[in-house]
Amino acid sequence: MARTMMLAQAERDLSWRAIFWSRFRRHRLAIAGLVILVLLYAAAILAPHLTAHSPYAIDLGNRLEPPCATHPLGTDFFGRDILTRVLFGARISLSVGFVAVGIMITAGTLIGAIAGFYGGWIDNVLMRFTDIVISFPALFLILTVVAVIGPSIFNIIATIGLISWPPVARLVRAAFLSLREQDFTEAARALGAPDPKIIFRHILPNAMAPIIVAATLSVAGAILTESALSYLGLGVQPPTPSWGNMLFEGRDYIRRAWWYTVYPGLFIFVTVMSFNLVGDALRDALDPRLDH
Amino acid sequence: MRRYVLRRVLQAVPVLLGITMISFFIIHLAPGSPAALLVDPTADPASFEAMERALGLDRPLHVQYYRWVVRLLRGDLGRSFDDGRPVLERVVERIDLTFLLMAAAFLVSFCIGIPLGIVCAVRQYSRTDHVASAFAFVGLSLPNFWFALILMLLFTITLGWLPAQGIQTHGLGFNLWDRTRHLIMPVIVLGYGGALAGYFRYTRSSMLEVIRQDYVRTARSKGLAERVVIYRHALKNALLPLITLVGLALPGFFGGALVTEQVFALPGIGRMAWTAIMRRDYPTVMAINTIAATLVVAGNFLADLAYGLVDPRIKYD
Repeated sequence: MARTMMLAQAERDLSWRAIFWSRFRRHRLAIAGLVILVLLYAAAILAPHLTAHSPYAIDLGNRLEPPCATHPLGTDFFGRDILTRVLFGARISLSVGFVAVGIMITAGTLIGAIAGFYGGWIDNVLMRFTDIVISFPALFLILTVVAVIGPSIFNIIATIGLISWPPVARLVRAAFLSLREQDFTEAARALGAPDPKIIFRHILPNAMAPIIVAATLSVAGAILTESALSYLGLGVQPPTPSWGNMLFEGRDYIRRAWWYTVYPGLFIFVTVMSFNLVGDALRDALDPRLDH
Repeated sequence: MRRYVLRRVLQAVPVLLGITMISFFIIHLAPGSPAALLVDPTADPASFEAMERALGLDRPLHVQYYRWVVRLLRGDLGRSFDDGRPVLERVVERIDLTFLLMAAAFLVSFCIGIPLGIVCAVRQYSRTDHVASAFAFVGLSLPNFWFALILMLLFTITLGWLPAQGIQTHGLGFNLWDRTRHLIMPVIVLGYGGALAGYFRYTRSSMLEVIRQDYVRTARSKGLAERVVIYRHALKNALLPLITLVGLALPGFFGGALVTEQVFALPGIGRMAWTAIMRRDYPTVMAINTIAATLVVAGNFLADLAYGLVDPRIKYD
């Protein structure tokens, strides 16, 4: 009996996965995005082994060299190899994106789950708080906070994460509002399961699809925000390379050295685009209502 | 209806108080004092304290906030720490440019996003659909400051067609064509972004949903022309919820204006906000933050109201 049930379960899992994959695969651009992201992560991790240059070594004899065989993307104002700095910058941009979104999803899920599960005045208080945070022009608030507490990588990540959770909270709350009325929740409650167990073991797994989609799309948003901060001079501080602060430096030499601004920005654009494509395909593959 | 409006206005009060309180405390909890930036570093401690007293920074934080709110209710936003002029005056001088920029960008995103969305829904999976979707996707993913630099590289440096900095040619007085030329690139940068992609996707998916409804099938089977079916029957219903998106796009436009004005050296309040943040000009930062948040809250409220007015299915009570 138990064995047949397990087999049936395995079969369901398999078919679920097969359905997911067959839907995801239809988005050929999303597959391309996924490949690009995997390559980018590999390149960021292996950065020191992929290049013969150091991201910090100053070579004043080779300032603002156009792209050539030794420097495929040219050199910057200090004669540093731009490709090397872009690869090391990928470490910053990608980790900022991931950790900030981790904070954002955790905060948003907790707040949305509690509001949606308990309802009543708890819901009211939490949602009014969400209204407040969502009404700030986000970039403005993030800039202000980072200016106040200082532009370290840790502060930037924490600020982006702690300010951009409201959409996730609303999403999770909406999912919880409908899921808490379902029979399986009622069953768990009747069996005497404590609230945290009902929330995290029974309801949350059923609300994961929209959260995963929101997380993927938010990584794109967080990378854009970090690069905008760096571009405005309040992000990752030089000489540490980040895609945003390379653009900030390159801007002054835009007339003499186009590669200085074009390439770092191109990396931001392609990365953000890849996350958006993957997120979009995930939305399609995970959403049971969208049947084509 | 009247009760609904009243309730929403009453709900907005704690939201606005919360926003101002949070910004006030964040800004004022910063280590160090802006008074230190204003007095001569070699001056004696007494003159530093006098400066703190003059700026009201020696009082406890909650007292400072209370005084700020009381003065705000009288229409007084304080004086800038930067140049000592009333903040309201400084903001009023610059806000029209930011509004112009945002309004133009909004029009661009609206007038491109919605028609594209309709066309793509009507011809789902056609080549037009794919190209337009890609176009919207690129806009969503473009970092606006980089897009601005690329446009400059193309239209200013390579082709020499458009000016890249400021609002008018130096030394030239007001000239409509000159102004317009200066604003073309900023409006494109601000308009071709997340909002356009949002309008496009929303219109497309909403239209696709409506087109499958029974009443559209009925209209078709009555023998109505396809154009009438799409534009008279489907479109109206598909676009109604879009009104709420208009309010939601405001915060994005504010952030975009901040970056765009900075890149193109435009003297609007986005650039002023950046300068104020960098120089720790507390009253100015507070003022711009409050104005922006009020507009966002008001925008959402008006959008909800308008939605109720055009859609008779929605009842407020």
